[in-house]
Amino acid sequence: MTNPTEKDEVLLSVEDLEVSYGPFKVLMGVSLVVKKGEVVAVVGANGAGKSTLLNTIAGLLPIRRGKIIFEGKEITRAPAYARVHMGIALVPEGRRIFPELNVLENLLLGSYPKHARDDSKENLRRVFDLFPILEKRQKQSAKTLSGGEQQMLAIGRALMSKPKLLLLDEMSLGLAPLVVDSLYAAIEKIRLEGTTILFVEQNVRKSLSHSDRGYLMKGGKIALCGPSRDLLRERSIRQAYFGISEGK
Amino acid sequence: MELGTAFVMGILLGGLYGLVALGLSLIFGVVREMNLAHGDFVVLGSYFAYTIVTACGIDPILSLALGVPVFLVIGYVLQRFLLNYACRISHDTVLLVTFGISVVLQNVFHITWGPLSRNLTTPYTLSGLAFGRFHIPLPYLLDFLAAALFMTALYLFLKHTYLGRAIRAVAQEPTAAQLVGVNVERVHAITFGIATALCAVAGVFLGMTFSFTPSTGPAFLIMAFGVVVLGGLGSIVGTLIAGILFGLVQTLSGHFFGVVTQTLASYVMALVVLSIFPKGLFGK
Repeated sequence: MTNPTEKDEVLLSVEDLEVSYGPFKVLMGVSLVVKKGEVVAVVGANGAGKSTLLNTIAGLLPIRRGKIIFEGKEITRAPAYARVHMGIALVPEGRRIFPELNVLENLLLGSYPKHARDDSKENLRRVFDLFPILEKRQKQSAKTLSGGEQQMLAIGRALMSKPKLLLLDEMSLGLAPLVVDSLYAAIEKIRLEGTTILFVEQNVRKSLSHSDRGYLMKGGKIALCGPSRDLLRERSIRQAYFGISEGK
Repeated sequence: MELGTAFVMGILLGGLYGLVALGLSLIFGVVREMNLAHGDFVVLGSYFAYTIVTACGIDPILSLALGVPVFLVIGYVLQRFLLNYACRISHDTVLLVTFGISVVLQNVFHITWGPLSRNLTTPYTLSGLAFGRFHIPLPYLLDFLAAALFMTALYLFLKHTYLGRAIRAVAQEPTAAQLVGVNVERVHAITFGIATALCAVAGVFLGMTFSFTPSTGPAFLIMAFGVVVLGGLGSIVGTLIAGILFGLVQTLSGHFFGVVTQTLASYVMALVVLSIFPKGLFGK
């Protein structure tokens, strides 16, 4: 899939991935590559398998067939917690912050991996610079935050582990447009600091205009892929997703 | 017993109950398992101290220097290599396995130490303190101090260390805990180890306060279960307060209605409180 000269640039490669929930196949032979420093979007309708793909890369779901390779090492069978130590951090759908812990404790848990503990002060500073509201709320218990703030906390927590690859699952789901804009602005800053990002969204136009490359998923398969600006011009995408409805 | 003394003794006894229940509360809150052998681990703690005290002649409290690390390892190994597997099958399996451990332990107690009741006596266990009209047996006071000390230590550990925060994270959101790099099964094993070490502590103070036999465990399991449910899952303060309520109701009902009503009264109290606070006093 990649030629030898590019090989050292590849951070993550997913090959022929097959995942099922019981008898239902959700991913059917998905292959995808993320290079160092890229921002890659996976778009598609509800139920296309986008979240399943991210959860599988993070190690939360067992794989039927296929391979996941990260930094040249196969991690297909590595448990989820071990992948965090390798440098993969997922911001899951629904945020899954620790509700009874305060904001600061949530963030410090993000630096649980040993390699991140020494730099936790410095990373905390970075997260607070990125999301100043979290610094103001640091002693507040996480469940008292608004939806947007909780999403910022979830992203901040993931950044505390100094990930090489940040996975974002539906981060704008259910949030007001202004909040979504500020999250995308934050993503832009995170990428400028050198973190590679793979994210999943239902909003096709927005996610393609904030990424380098895109994959379009349909029914558990990759239907299209390419540079985001090309995909934005693609006729089939324009008809299916920018037409009357953006859903199915 | 005079009323004031009964009142003070009830509160102090509550410390012992809280201490006995603390490990169970931790396992319940974090691992979400019911350890039916909990009472027997407490009694194992008593026998362990008894053996060291008779062999070396040292103070039972000092024996904890060995008891705590040994029990920590026992608990860790048990969860890591047995209960984690049972957990993956179902919660019923955990109940069955821990019930089995309970039966095995009681028989081991019988074979090793015989059926007679024992206690951990030292020169000071029979002494008491007189505060004006109150006369307080020293072990009751030690029970309460130990409960306060170990609960505070556990609280600080859970609040201020990476491992402690990881334990709380696992209790609240196991999936998210994995996503920040926490090995959930390992944290379960460490938690079970800590809970078992607390059984060693509770066993020493139990043995200094009451006598124990090979079949004492289940009674303390039931009491601890009541304390945990009453206090609210996973709340350390709740465990202490509920322990004190149990202690108070026992000594006061003993004072007013006689010893036979003690157990009945404490569970009637638990039912009444739970009907008002279904999640326990400090439950979330």
